[in-house]
Amino acid sequence: MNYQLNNVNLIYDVEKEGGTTALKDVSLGLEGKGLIGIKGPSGSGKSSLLYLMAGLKVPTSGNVFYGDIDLSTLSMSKLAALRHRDYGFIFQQHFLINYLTVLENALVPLNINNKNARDKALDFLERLGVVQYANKYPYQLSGGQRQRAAVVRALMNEPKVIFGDEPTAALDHESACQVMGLLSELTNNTMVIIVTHDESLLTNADKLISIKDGHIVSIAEREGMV
Amino acid sequence: MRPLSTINYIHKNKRKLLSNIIIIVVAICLVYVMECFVSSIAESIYSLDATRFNYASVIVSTESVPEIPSDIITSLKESENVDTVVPVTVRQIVFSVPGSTTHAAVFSANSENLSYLTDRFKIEVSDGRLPEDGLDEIAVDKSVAKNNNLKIGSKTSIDTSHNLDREYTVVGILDSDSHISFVGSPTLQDNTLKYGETGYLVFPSGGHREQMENEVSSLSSQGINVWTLSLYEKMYAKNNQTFQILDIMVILAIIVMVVCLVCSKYAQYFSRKSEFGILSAIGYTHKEINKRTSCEVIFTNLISYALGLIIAILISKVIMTALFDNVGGTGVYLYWKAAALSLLAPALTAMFTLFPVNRLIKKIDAVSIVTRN
Repeated sequence: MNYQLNNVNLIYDVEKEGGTTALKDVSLGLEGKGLIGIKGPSGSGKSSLLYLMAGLKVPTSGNVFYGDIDLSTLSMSKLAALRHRDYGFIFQQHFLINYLTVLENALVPLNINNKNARDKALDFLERLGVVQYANKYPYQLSGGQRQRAAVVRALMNEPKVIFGDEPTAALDHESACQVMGLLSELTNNTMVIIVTHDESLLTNADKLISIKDGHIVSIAEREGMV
Repeated sequence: MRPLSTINYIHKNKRKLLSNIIIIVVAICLVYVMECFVSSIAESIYSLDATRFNYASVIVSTESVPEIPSDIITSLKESENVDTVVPVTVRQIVFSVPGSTTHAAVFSANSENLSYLTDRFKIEVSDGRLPEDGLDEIAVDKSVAKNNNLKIGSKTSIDTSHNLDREYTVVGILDSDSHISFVGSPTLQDNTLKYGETGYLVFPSGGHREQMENEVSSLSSQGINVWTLSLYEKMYAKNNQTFQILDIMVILAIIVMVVCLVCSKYAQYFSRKSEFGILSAIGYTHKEINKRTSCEVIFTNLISYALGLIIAILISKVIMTALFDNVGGTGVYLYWKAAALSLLAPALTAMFTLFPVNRLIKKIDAVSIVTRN
């Protein structure tokens, strides 16, 4: 799937005097599949870029094209439908629903509970080493186990693009590598866009975007990466 | 079960649901039982007082007219609207239900008229016999007997308008919807009878009750005490206005309860903000999330109403039977008005929960929730 960002600006509190500029004249093209890392210091605008591409934020000016679709022209409900159909999300926190079991949480994006869906969820849970907790509730799990369950939830709708905003922040290094390993496996069929502080997790990235003060300062391809 | 279905939410949050249901069920029970209690008082009094006027109107002597003039009686007898005019003495016997005390009618008439009266009022002697002329005997209505705990052979006193108590022996139990009792004394020939103790029962000719009542009502302008069904119903309606105050108080109490409950329910939904945020982020529209919470709210309140109504009816049946039916009154436990007023509690709770929760969901910014540390 292709992404094309043309002169995108994102200003928070634009109606107030001296609104905060998160992204300034960002132009970017992303093609096909692979692992794309976005790095930058805190407050540089990397998460804003991610949420713009995910249709969770609307640019103040400029265009974000997802394939042929200009995201800035879509209504909120159409954007939601697009996220539901094409995207998977992993956030810094797990955001599992506390009163649902791990398995039910994994089924939330599909909102179905038939054998096929359950088998699919159990397969992902097994691959992430948490299948034995399928019938446990999130509050019965450790932070790492919860985050792995959240990763499974992101994969259930077979997304074309997976967005991860510091997805391994709550995990120890070993668990983080395990999650990143699984996400790397998925890049054969999927575009995985990850925002992280931990550059060591992006060693397998096909493209690494560096952001500072709302500007893209560099885009490194795998071949050019050290 | 779909993970985001209403049933699954309820299944996973039984305690929370139960606490919400209990509050509404208690409110429904209070409203329903209170309304049934008031209705039972009204029904008990109405059926005791009013039904006999379906058969006959009553005219009674007064201080200004101690003896009803014979020309009035003659003109009534000659009227095409009147079938019969029967002279009687007028007494009363106490009838008490919780919240109210009234008096049931007690007449005496000569033996010929007595049998005519039992016929016209469709009275059956279910036990014992009718009183004998001139004796201090009473055949008492079944409900009144129950109310005063009277059996054959019991002694009871009867009030007169002049507070002259007289003790009577119960010789019969009567069964009729007119709730009339008969005594053997004093007879109409008794010289001790005073004003207010003598009168006439005026029976209408077929299909002329209203016309007869109009004719009889006009006698009140001549100083005669007149009782007809329409006059009684006017008085009854006036007294019922008091009960309307109770309805207003019930509605106010429901609103106070709803405000408290809605605050706690809103807090429950507010604590689910991150759930709504993540659902919104992963692609559920506000409409879909709203639909889900609406189903939860409506389902909870429907269950509460159904459960509350069943429990309220059962409680009312037990209470009203004990307080009213068992003392000869009319216990009301199936009452549409009580059911309608009870509906206010879940309906208002649902309405005042849905509006703010829908607003809460509409205002949710998924990004601000998922980026929260």
